Amino acid sequence: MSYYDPLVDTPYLFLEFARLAERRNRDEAVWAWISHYGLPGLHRNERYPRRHHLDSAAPRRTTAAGVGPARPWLPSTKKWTGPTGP
Amino acid sequence: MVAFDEEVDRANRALTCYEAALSKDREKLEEFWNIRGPSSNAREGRAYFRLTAGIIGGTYTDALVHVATRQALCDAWEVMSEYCYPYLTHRSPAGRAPLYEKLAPELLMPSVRPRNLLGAMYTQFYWLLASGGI
Repeated sequence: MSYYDPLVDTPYLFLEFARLAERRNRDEAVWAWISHYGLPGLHRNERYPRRHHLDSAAPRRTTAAGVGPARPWLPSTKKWTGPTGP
Repeated sequence: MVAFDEEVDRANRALTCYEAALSKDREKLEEFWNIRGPSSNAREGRAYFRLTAGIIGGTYTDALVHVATRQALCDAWEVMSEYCYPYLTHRSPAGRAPLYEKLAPELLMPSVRPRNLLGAMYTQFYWLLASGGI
């Protein structure tokens, strides 16, 4: 098993992760990414509020491919407290 | 894997949105918001941005940039608020490891710490956003 510090050793990891969506063979790319960097740390009991998980009738968030709500430019109905919020 | 794919899509959208905002390119931004063309949805979208331009006192393109920047911020903050936490670190003028450095109040500086790998990646995105596109 090897260890790495993502903030120091892989400064472009976010970009690499985000670009997985654009890879031609996405599944293969995802598995290669996971075997190289590990899992991102998601777990079942997370508090992370995904709207469509809380409300099955709510529209899925839009994606770069354009799949999602009809009016993606409208502000989210979620309350955003901003970076200095509680 | 579904959750992983959702996170990839979310990250891709946040990054594409930020890149579109950085470009300040009207065409690219309209494409991102899917408001090009004669459809009623596209016309409604363009009307929304014209209205926003009036509210922020800018041009139509300023409004496209404004909303894209707001969306990128919102996407980043949604993840960071869960997977990162505020932290005070200290500036080391000598560049030595903090353990071997003398602490002093004037050397403290704000920072964030990730709770997991996803938080670490969004910390990188946070740095990108905070750099102002430089």
